[in-house]
Amino acid sequence: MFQLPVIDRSSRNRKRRKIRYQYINSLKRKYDQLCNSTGDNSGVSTEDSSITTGILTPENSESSEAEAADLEKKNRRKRRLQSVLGNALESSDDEIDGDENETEDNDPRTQFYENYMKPQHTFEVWKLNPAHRVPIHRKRVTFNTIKKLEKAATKSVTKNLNYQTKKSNMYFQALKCGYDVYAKPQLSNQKFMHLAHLNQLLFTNVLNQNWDTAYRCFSILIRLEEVDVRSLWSIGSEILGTLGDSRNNEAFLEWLAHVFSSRIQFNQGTNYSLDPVFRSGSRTHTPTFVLNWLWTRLFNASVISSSTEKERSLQSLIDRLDEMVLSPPYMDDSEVWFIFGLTHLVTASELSLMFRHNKEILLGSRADIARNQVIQHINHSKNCLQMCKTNNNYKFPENLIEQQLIQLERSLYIDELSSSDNGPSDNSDNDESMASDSGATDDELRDVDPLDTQQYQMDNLNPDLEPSGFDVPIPIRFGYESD
Amino acid sequence: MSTYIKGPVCGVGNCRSRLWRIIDGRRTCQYGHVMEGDVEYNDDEDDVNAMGVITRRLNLTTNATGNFQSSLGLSQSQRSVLGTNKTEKIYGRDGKILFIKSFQYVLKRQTEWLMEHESFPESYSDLVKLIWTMHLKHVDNILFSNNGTDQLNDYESDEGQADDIANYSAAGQGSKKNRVKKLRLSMLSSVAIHYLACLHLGLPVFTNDFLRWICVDGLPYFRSHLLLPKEWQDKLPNYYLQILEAGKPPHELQIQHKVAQCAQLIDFKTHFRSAIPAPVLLLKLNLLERLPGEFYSFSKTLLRLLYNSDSLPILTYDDDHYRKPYQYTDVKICSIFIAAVKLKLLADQQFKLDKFDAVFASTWLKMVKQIDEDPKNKFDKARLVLKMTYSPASTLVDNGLDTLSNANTSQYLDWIQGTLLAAEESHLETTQTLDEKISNRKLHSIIPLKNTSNSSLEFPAFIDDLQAGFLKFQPMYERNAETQNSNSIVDMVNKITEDLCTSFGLSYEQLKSSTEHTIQAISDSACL
Repeated sequence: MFQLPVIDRSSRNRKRRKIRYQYINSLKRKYDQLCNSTGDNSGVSTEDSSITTGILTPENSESSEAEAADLEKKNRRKRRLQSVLGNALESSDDEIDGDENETEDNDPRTQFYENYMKPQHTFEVWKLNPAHRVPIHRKRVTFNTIKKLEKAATKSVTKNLNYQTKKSNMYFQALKCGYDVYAKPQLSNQKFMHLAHLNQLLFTNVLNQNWDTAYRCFSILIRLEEVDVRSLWSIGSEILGTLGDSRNNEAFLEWLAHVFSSRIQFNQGTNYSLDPVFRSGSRTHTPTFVLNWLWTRLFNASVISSSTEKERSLQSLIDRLDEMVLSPPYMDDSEVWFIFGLTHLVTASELSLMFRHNKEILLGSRADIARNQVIQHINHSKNCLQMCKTNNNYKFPENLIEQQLIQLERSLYIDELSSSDNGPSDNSDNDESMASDSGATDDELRDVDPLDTQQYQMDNLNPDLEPSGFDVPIPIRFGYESD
Repeated sequence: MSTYIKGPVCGVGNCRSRLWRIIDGRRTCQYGHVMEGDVEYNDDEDDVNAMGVITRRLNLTTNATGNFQSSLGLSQSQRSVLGTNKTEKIYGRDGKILFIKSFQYVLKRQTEWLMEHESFPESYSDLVKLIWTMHLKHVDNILFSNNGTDQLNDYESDEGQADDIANYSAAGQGSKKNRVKKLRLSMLSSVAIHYLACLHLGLPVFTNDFLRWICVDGLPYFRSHLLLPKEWQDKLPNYYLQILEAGKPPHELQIQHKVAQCAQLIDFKTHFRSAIPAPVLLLKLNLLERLPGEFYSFSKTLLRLLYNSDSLPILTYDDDHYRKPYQYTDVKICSIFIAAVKLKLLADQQFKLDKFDAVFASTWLKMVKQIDEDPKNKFDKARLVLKMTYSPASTLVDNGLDTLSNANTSQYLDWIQGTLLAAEESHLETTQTLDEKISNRKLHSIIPLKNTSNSSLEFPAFIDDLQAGFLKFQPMYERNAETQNSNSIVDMVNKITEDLCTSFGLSYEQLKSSTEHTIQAISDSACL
């Protein structure tokens, strides 16, 4: 029922996966070829990425008939053209796969992942909230086209399938029809029987929220030789987080980030048959546990009650991030920069809070130093957010954060600007709400508001900003695909 | 090749070509004249090095101790280590001999385990040795026979010609019967040897006990290759390692089949006492299933009725074909037991004897369910683990009803922590590299194992628990008297069948068909 957290070295699965990716690839290529060339208006190309990542929606048969007639006409014309040119007249399907042969040598899986930088990009996006609805995409695929797509894709795969076993053929047929193949439960190796039981106990106990039992299962599982921690880390960190000891969770994530650092080279093709991007990092891809670790640190740091302790842990996080953004996978990752920026923002707000508390004590140059510290962090934060913006795909509530920064800056000089402002007198204890959502990383806004600018909170908050696809900081719990 | 370089006019034979190309290191003009005295040396590589920009990237990573290591250097150094230290696997006859040695080693460890944990008598090890040597006789034939190919190799040997021929004819007959000469050793053979030894000594030990020991208590069986010295592990070919690894737990009569084969191989019947004392097994089953003593005498009577004797000879055969389940003696006895229970219950129900009727059955079922949910003694706990060993994880969820109770879960986890994990850790200690050890130790200190409090408690003795169970049974029986459940007899028989088939390592269908066969035999004998 639940996939075992083991490294799967069987060649059967590898072959299956290969066939599947090959099929998907050729389907996509065919789709691009058909639909984007026929409707090749100018503005389409930018939208293409969003189209192709979504699922194809079949149209009703009525309009497909018209389309079919149209297609038939086009085919006829094409054939005549070919016969004029002197090509051998073949069935209309054969000419389709001309361009596919050259790329066939590559691994279909790597080909598939070349289109997606991050695993979550391969997911279907389900928008459940009615407020977030967008009008249905008008560009439809007719039944006929789908048939054609499928035919072409199947064709490209059949060459390979001829060399496969009957079983993988069956698997492919089932897969093509949209069925999931469910392995027959059978007796296996004694140790694997117990491993499967343990794994199942782990999941069922998490489901029933028996965290102590789940913890026991997890702690046993990671001690077994076959188990790969990277396929269990997400559930493990959830268990550790829920059991209450945030420090433990942090330590666990840190351990992962250190041991499975993305600089270690390993042969991904042979030993690790599960998709590497889903489980660990590479030179281009930040592993998710690292991101999770950074978020956890930031949240844990921001809920610490004692201010010196808080400052220290924030500072250490800043140091850590400062180091990290110098090396490849992190330096191009917008999310790391975003975290960096937010950390600076939190630190700045923290310092400014302290500054305003001690305003009476700090005099002259000391006040300037304290003020400069805050401004420094604000500037750093701005720089980091600037780095985020270099990547177009990364969306974050930019206006809001900038607003926040401006407020922070303004609040430093607030008594000099106008003493009558409804002031920063009552914002001493507004960090509690921040503590409440420490676990939930889904909504950055809540993290940002309660800092110290509640007098301006609702003014500039553009209500459309929140749903504007701010979807990145969700801790992505992709484990592994189910086979 | 086809690119020409502009150069001086060729001039040979008034050739007007200015274009040159290089063929075989000699400058040749457009029309094929070779420039004299101009030979190009192959110094390309130097040029490339001098001209091209060389970049080298050091891939520095830190290892677990915090030192820098370059990943490239690591792989190279590893390779060199592998190259020098690489142990050769041994194949062929030497490999076989090593395998037999390893097998013997495992057998020895098993015997030690049995004598230590189950307090087997001193003479037991001698008997195992005796049976093993008899088993080796069969192996001898394979290792030292001279059939066709061996003869070619042995031409240079000093053996007399006549001797060879004699050997050949003797071995030839054997090979005709058994074309592929197999050692016929698997881990199950070790169990078979132990079982036969127990049988001869008259120890009250049966196949279910061995199954429990290997699956639950940790008699060396699964992954026994890890017990071997490291050197042997490295040298043994993989297919022998696979045999020693044992893989799946024995199921579908595999143990019984192997016992029968093994007994034939060493001609057990002629040399040793080869009859199973059936009443002992019946009594054991009776106690394990927590039935009142009456059922023991019923089943014993049934046994006498069918076979006219208390001890049944074991089944032996030579070939690889499984027999019908009821032909194996211990399965036979099990099915007699089940048949006795079933017939008695049905008869009492039918004649309204009011003793062992449906009410009794439903009470018994209730009691067993209680015990299953929170097993106290060793045997009931073992049953839980056995059940987990034999049922694939996904079936438990699919059936829905079989989700483990909390007590069961923690007991199961205790067992895993105590038995499976202990073996795992000792194995990992030897195989992991230093880096892995350090990083794992770090991880394990972050996530320590939790011990449940009651793991230190001793199990109650089986007999005490049994008596306590019976004491509880009586009031339950009285309370239960008014509730009638017509299916309870069938349920009870099914439950017993299920229990027995997991503890003897056969499938439900096999035991059921065997029981049906027994009932058929009883009705036949009654007709006569």
